[in-house]
Amino acid sequence: MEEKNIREIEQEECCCGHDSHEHHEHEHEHEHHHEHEHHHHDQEHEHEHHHEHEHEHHHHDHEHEHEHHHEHEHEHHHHHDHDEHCDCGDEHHHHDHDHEHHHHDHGHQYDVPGFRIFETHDHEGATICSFEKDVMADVSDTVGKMQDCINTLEKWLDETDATIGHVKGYVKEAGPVTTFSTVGCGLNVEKHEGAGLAIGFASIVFGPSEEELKEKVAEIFAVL
Amino acid sequence: MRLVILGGFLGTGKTSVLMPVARQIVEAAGGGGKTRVAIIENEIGQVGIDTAFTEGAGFTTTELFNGCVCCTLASSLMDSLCQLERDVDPEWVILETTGLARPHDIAESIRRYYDENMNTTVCITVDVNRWNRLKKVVGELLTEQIENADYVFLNKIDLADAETIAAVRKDIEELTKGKVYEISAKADTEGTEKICLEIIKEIISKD
Repeated sequence: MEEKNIREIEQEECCCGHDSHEHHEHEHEHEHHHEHEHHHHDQEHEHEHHHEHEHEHHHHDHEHEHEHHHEHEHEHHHHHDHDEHCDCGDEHHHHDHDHEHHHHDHGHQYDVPGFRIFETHDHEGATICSFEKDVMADVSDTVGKMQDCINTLEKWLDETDATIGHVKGYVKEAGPVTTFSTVGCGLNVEKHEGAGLAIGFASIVFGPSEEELKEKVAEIFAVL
Repeated sequence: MRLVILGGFLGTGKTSVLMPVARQIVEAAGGGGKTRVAIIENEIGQVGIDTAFTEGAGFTTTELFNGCVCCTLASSLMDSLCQLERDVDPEWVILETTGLARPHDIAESIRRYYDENMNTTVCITVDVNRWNRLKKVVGELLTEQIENADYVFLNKIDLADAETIAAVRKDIEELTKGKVYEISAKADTEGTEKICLEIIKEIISKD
């Protein structure tokens, strides 16, 4: 296999339509950045996130119940000549001569009580929300609740004129486990019955914002 | 190593087609499970759901979550291919992309950065029942997914009437030079497996 800087691949394979970018990592030669201002409107407060650089996050006071974190999984830096049209769809400023603009995929992780993972992000115009949680409950009861929750979410999406890309999930029962243990004087083999359920869920939809989808999913699936 | 990229929009039945493709690869080699097949599952969310369908099927599965291998996880895909080649040395890799991926971009990246001579095939699934609605919402993405496909599966035909199937087929054939098959991956598993075997044999003949 030909050895190349794999990091370049992510940068060159950008969907913005330009195929002649120069890519710079961690270089901010020009004063140019995307405005990553997220306005989260909650009933009680409003907070802003300003992202100027991969490692510069300013989180203001959070008074609401869900702490959330931003993860920058990916960065695209593009180099454009002045006046060159950019159709990447992101807001950015054109300064003198050359400029860079950065594409970030933001993942938002939330600490929602009862959920092991709860995250949202956006991609290609779709809003994604997924979660995982573990419960000690009856499987048929949980499967029934899961169906009701998904139907409720589907109804809400329909009412808000959203387009469902895919809403999917699972309820998985813990199976029996056989363990093996020895300290040199005989092998101890024990079979343990499984207990508990693992629930996974992902919704990929077009229309709602991350905040709206997160609030609705957290509200609906809290019954699990 | 041959690569089958299994793409197509969200909910079109990629995961349902994955297992028939994997099984027919083994079948084409004479069965017996000696053919080394690895699966890479890419999901856009942080929580992987599709692996719940595929786990336990006996194939080495690598999971790439929380991004898309055509862009944000492109380097992770190359890492995964390297690792699979080193650890498993598979004869076949099946990559199930996210529904938002542009498989042709993935194929190009692999040819450019991994192995320009790799036998790479792009298969796309289409839900005939949702085609008309989705093309209004994400038409550009659907077009890009389909136009460079080698094979297109018009899936879920058991849920559509003949007129709808014919209309979608006409749309798809105008977009791609790839072969178009009508399938029902869940309702007609036998027919789907037969088509998959035909495709696998064609892919092998390209070596």
